Amino acid sequence: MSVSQSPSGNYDAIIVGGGPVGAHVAKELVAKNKRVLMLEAGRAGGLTYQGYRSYVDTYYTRVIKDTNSPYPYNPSAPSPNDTDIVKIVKGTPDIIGYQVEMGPEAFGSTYLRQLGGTSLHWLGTTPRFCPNDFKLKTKYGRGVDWPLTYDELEPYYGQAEWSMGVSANKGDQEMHGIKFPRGYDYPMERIPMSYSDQVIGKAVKGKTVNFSGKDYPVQVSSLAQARNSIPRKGYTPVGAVGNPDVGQRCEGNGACIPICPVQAKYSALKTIAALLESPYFTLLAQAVVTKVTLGANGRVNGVEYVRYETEGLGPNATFTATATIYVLAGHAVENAKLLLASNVANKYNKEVGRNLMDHPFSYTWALAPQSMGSFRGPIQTSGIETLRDGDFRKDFAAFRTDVGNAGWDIVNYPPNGDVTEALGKNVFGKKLRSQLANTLPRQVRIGYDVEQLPEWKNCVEIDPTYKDALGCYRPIIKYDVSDYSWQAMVEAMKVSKVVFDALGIPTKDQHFHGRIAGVADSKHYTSPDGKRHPLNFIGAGHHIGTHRMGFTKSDSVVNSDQQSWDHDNLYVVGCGSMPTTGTANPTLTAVALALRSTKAMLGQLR
Amino acid sequence: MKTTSSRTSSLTPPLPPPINTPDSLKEHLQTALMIEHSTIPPYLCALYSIPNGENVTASTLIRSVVMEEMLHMVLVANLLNAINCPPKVKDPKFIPTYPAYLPHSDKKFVVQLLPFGTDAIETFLKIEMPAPLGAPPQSGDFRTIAQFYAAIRQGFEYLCAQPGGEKKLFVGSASKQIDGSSWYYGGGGAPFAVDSLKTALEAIAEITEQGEGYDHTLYDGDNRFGQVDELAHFFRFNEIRAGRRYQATDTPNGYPTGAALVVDWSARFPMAPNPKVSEYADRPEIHQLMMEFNRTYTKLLGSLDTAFNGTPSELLKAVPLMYDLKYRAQTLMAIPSGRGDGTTVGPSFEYAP
Repeated sequence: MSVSQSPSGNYDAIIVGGGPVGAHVAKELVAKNKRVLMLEAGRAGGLTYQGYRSYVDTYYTRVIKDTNSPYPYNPSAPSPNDTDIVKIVKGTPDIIGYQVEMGPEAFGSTYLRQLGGTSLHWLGTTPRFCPNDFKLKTKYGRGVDWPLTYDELEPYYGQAEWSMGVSANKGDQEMHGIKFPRGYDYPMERIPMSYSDQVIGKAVKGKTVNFSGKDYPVQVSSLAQARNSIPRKGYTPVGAVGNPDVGQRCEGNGACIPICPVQAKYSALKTIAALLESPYFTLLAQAVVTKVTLGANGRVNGVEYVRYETEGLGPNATFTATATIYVLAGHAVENAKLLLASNVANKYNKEVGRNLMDHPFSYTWALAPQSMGSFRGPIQTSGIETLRDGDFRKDFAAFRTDVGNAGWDIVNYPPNGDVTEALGKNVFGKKLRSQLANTLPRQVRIGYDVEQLPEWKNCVEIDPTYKDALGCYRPIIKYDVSDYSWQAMVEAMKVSKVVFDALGIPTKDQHFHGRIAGVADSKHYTSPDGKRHPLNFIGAGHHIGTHRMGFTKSDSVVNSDQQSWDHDNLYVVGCGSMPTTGTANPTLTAVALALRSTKAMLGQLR
Repeated sequence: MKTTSSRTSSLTPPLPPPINTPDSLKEHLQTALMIEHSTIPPYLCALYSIPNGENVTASTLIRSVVMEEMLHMVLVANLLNAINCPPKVKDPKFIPTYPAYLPHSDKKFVVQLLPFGTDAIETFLKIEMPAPLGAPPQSGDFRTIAQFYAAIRQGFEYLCAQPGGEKKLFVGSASKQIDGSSWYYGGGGAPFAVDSLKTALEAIAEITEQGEGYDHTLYDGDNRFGQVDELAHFFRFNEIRAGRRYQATDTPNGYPTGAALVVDWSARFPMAPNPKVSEYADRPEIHQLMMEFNRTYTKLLGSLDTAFNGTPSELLKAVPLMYDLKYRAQTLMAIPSGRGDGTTVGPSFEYAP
């Protein structure tokens, strides 16, 4: 694609952002012969098999294999990196990376600006939200309700699961009121549960945990995952882009984050590569949208974008593109940033950028006396899903329990962390090898994706002080975690205790907080009764709520169609539209919402 | 095995084709299974000798061919099971002793275990050579694999043309058929059940067209099976040899004239040709690694044998074994052979139960 040329012609829709949400909006519009222009800030390197392989090769060579490590650094469209996140010292913003962090807590989540978006490095976990997640306020008196229900979204969940290629068995997912229509099933059979899932599942059978005076089962079940497995009738798995023979099944490489080496995991590249076959679809990469412009009638009349040829260097050219409708699908943080920079969608309130949420991910770990077969299979194949809903949500947050397959992973980055620690104790050679062989397969890590409530003070802001190489705003993040979530992290330790005890792990080998080899960063929470609870958490990479949908133009940025209250030809889509976090990894729901919104878009384009 | 070519004349009543009894058909199909298999170790040696990340396009092309050869094995097994003949895979005689001729071929070239290189690709081109226009079916001493399959096709047609022939021929159990529904996957397309003359001829067409091309074109005609048209094997190998891709206007008789395909012939493990376990009797570490490779390979053949003989789910077990095979092969290929010529050890693909 030539950089000097800019597409001309009339488009029905301009989509800003080539991630899973933008790709699915494009897919639906193009299917109805609407002319779509997709503007992607990053490069489109993954569209060829060789290009994607070069990401994999980079991944192999990286010592620190963090979420964005396989993808080339791009100062013209920078992304936040794990390695930039540090503990915030009060009054001193963290300006190391792209994202400016004001605290008080570090917002420990990243995303990726590259064609395919964060779906290049996501884990691929695709549970649906529970029906009660849509009515938290009505049901439990917390947060807000969504302007739509599970039942209204249900058909689009099915559509999203078939489009992305989700592997799961219906029976495993039917809980907390999650229902499927008669005759529906996932496109592929569930990914087999790992050996450690099975060992833990057997050990905790019949065990319960008491929350707010009620017993809940601690039960391990299979997770829905957008990774290829054995297809059901009517579905053909989609392999690697440009090499469809590869990636027909998940191979258990265990590298889902930051990159699936064979593309068995869904990424938006698959959807976009298929779209490129259509004459109705135009893709423009290296096009950073800097402004949404308004006409005199208050409707959006164009987007301005800068094209760069070489990252971080000029000369760059600015262009304007126009269409009938405009869809911002650039990620919760980038969408908010663009709206703020354009001074739009703020006529009725100051909600843009507000209510930033994540699933704070707290974790515990232990060394089992027996081999758990750790490091087999994809990073995660099962969870304890029984605590995603319950009356305790009046008191504290619900959570999804992540039963990992990758040993102590984020605790100390095995095996590197283990090697470093052993070398520090002068263990090397044969002894080191046998020590690693003995301990690594016994590592267990249980983590919690904890629900977070919308709070006005948690936000994305912009300030002319902080700009990137292209002169675009860098996002400023203000983030804190409230008692509702902290308490859940404390309560969640009961679940870990049940699991660790059931596995017969001695107390001295059970860890609920603290540091290992100087890697894990310990925090603490002081509960209202004055008790101090040390614990560990990081971000889950689930940026939610910066342009939330609501019931009225006074309480939200968009309506239930993700259409701006202020500008009727502007749609702001993605996880940013979600009013609350629930406990489910949000991508599937974001795609389902986007598919639903395309009905309204097509109505406008008729 | 009969070696006559088919002869017909308008003046005399047509002679029966060389394959004219069910037993002869079974015998030739078992040979076809051996032919399909005999190409896989040489292809795997070339594929595995390319280190991770090198010659990506070339290795992708070779890999796609290997996967289709595996599909062909499954289709031939379906043909055998359709006429109620158990496919034999786990058998010492099933594996050729390399260097070897293709089983029952006209012995015009030998097939060797070689690393990726011009010698290997030249051999692959000979294996996948399209039949010349008008070439006769050959049930033995065949010149091209396509001509051998043409003889099998004639055999099916002849036997089905006899009174009640089709019904008497296709008496195999449907439960032994492997289709694309569950256990088999991976590129190369999906296998399908064979239970009639029509499906048998489709299976034969799929096999020969993926190898040499559909109706004397560059392509395999797979779009008729709901798949993407791909270059036939011969032309994929020709792209590697020419260092250039085919484009739409190219013809089977000419050279590819499309985009350049960059091949680095030196980016490979220089495995010594046709390794044998016996060569390393005095080097126990290497000997053991080679034996382990062969045991894994034999186990894989065992899984296929079980899968082809009534337990299709056994194919799932073949998947991790294939990975194991690759890791073991590449381990061997990184060890100097000790021949003093810069070569390395390699997998010998010998029977080791």
